[in-house]
Amino acid sequence: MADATAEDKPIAYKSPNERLGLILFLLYFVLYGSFIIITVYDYTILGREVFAGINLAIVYGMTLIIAAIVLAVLYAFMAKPDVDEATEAAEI
Amino acid sequence: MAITIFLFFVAFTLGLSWWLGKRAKTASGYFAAHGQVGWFVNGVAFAGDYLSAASFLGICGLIAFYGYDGFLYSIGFLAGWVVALFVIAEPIKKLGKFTFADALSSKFGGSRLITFAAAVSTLVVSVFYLIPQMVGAGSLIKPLLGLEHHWGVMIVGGVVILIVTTAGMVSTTWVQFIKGSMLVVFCAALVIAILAHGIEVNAKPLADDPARARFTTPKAEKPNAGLVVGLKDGKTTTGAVGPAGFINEFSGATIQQISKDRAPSADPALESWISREVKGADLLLPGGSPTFKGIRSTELTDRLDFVSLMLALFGGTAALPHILIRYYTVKDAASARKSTVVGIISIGFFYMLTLYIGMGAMVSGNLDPVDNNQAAPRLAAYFGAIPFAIITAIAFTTVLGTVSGLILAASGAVAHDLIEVVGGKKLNDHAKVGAAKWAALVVGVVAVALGILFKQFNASFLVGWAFNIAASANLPAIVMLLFWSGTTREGIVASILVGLFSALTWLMLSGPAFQYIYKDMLLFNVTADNAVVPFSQPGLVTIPLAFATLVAVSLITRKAPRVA
Repeated sequence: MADATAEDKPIAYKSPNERLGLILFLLYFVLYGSFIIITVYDYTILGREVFAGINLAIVYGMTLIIAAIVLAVLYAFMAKPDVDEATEAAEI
Repeated sequence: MAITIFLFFVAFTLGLSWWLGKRAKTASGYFAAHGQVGWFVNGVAFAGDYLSAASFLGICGLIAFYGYDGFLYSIGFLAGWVVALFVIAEPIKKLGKFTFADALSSKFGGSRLITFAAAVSTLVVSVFYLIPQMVGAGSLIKPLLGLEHHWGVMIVGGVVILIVTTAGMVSTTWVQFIKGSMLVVFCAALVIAILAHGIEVNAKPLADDPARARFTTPKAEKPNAGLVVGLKDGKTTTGAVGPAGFINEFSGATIQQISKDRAPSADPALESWISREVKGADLLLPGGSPTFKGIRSTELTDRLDFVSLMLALFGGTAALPHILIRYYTVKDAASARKSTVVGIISIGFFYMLTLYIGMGAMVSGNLDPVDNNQAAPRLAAYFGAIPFAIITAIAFTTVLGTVSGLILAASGAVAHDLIEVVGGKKLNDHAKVGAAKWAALVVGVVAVALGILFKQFNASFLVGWAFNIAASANLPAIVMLLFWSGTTREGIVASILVGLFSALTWLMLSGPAFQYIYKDMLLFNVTADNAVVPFSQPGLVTIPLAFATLVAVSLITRKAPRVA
């Protein structure tokens, strides 16, 4: 994206919805990536009890699922209405 | 009784699909029906599309056999939707194209080369996605009708080929909605039954029953697995428990696992089995299954196998041609977004349920020790003939829907992309439909043959292969087309072909291919140790390779004329 010029923009350039999408994606990517790093680094860390006899593996796994749901809902509420998108499409 | 309910469900869904399909054709056209459907219905239909029987049966089976490792697939499959919604969906919609090949080539004013590469990739990914559906179909038919695995595969193949080639089934949004919601609702009911039942001791510890450590049964008989030999604090039953309580009790339980003895019994009429006792807490940690055992290895390359699969699952969803197409079937952007969110909620909720269904099957005392794809239907059977019939019927109709859709997509790629665009042959409507039907027949027969051959594989494991191929072949092309203006058509073609063939080659040189295909199927004298590649899942190498290929080829061919 870095070398995009005004005349030669990539298809995805910084519209508010795309920027919001990328921010939420990065948030999730960090959460997902950390899970993979912990597992590869030392999987026994995931065996530690978090609460009521439930280990970190279950808590983190469920968190990843719930986080995907929460971020998706957030995106639906924060995304700009379609009018903007129609304008953007016309600019291409 | 079970068979009657099963047949009723299947006939009802097929009839509804046929009726709605016919209506859609005569009323408002093939795709217009989607525009009229509300975002909620459409969202659940996303779930109906995505939650193939293979992922349902496969994930539950993996959890029932190995514990947490199956849940890793649930996590990865859902995470893929995050990429689809946040990164790909919004910008790709601007292209306003309706197939994967058209979307990729639109920037260049249409390109036969890109269409060719995308069509080949669509065909390969569809076939790899079809195999686990067929394997799952065989596992469903086996306990219900008492027929052997290959009959189940052939029945599904035959019915689907018949539907696709004669009636031209239109798998409508409403049918996917009904299937999707039934799957989620009945699985939720199954989990409530599991929690209400709790966990009970249903076998003696090996110390009290040493004969069970290694025992034999007649060849045709299989022992029941899924045994609990001890609970926390010496209890014999937990009674009804909540979702957190169930995990807590499971952690404290001692579970007896039964597996086939690798060394065959001296008497050919007998099958030899081995029992071992495992702590529930150990089963709720990653690394217990053959697929993910590398996590517990000291070798870095073994652990990279896990990273590679999780990367492929993350990037694969957004790169599946039939998922991309699905996104376009809604009318406007707002309802598309809302639909996707409803889809993610339904799919996410369902994947949470898979953990309980898998754990429930593991302690049910009614687990097939060999075929883990049967874990969920057999768990339902534990609660009665009616739940069993309903779960089997839902899974079966889902197989029919998914298989029909995939065969239609693959035959469309042949008829439209390969013959018309690449071959330059202008077909009239009649000839086009004829070509598509012949392609459907060929793809269907290939899928049946592969479904029979691959019966020993877990369905989710095979879906993982499809994700690796899709993420390697398609994801770099889509992402770079959308985010890098320097992308050229040559870059896209090279990236798709390099990603596709490197992933395929890697898989065919991997340990599971040597073990299950070359040794078990083709009877060559090899083992998994003969694998040529250092780890079995290719994504970690082949996805970056495809990205690098795209950038390198685009830079070299940059002066080539291109339409901005």
